[in-house]
Amino acid sequence: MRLVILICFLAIAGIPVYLITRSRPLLVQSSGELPAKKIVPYEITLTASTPAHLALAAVGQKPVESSPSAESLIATYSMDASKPEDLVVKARFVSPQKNAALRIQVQASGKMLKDATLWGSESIEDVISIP
Amino acid sequence: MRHIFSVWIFIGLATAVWAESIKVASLSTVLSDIARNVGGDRVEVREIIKPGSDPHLYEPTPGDIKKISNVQIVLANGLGFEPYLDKLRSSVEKSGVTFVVAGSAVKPIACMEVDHHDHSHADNATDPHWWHSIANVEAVTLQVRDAFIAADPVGRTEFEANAKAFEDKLKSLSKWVRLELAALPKSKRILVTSHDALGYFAKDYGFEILPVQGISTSDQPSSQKVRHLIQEIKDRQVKAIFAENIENPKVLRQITIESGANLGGTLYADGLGSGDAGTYLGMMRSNVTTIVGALQ
Repeated sequence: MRLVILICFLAIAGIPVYLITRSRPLLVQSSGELPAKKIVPYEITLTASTPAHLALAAVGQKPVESSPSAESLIATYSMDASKPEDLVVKARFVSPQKNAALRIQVQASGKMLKDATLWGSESIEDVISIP
Repeated sequence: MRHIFSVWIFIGLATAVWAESIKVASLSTVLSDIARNVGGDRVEVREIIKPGSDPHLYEPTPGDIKKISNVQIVLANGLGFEPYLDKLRSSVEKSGVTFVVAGSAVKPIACMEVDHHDHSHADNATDPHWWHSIANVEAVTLQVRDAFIAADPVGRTEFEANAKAFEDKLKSLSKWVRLELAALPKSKRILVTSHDALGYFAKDYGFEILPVQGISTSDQPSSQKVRHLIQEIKDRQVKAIFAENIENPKVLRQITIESGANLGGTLYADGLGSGDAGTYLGMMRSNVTTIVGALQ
């Protein structure tokens, strides 16, 4: 009986000692495990205030251009939803004028992610980041 | 008629000669460049911190304090970059010097590493390297312009025109940076640097920073930290790591050999360099070109 009580006591006393002293895997600060990619189609619409030669590009995507000129350009790029690439947009207006505008709309899954307007005269070239 | 014309020319020349320029002392190479751009000929900039020197190792000498006492405006970074700033301020206070502290005009961000090596993070781990955001430089340009106008109201038109011209250059630079970086996939926007100084740049352009703590100081990074960093560089296939100042080539060599990454070049993290990197515009262009070239 004493032996049983002693074993029980040692077992109970041993639990916290085990919990404190057991070897644990080191906490790694790095974010080595990358989240899985979720590829989403992004619909991009460029609309110019007057006819222009429009161009759209993003790294890893096929560049799209209006040929020879148009007032709008629509393209769909499939990109990683966690890190969509920056869009390079260009417009070279057929008839240069003051306050020519280029509107850029980006939608994904029916949601408007970006709606920006750039202003220029002869041409516009800039980068649009998708949130 | 000829006489009147000559008198006017004489008065004009005399005014130009006798117009006293504002004397400015700068504790930052970037602020010196901003001051020159905004001030033009109406401002005399005395560089206390010179391009290529390490601002962390700087301590004002009695000679510097004397120099600073004789100026009207002192330009400083603030945000804890100059641990001696309060002391300096109190020692030259009686001279009527105005301190223009850039940190009060920018939106500060937090440091990645709380125990960040040799900066004194008096402001509770605020990143003091504000100039790596072009938007911050635009804000400080206006701050410097206003300080110069307050010191020399006659020069208002000139300061305003100069500041506007510099702002236009900054806007062009900003667009150039965006276009250059658009060629770099987001997955490759990882900066392994010897120094956690590019936080503002990382925030503006979607980079992640993995600093090698201690590599540019006497503090050695722990072998465990270096091991983890090497593993992360391998896992994420980072092509290049960047040195600001190779003070510990042994650790950098170890990281490049074991991770397979290349040395991507030198980034100007703590201020302007020399040659093309001797101006703010040149420094930013150099950094961006180095980063894109190495990581693409």
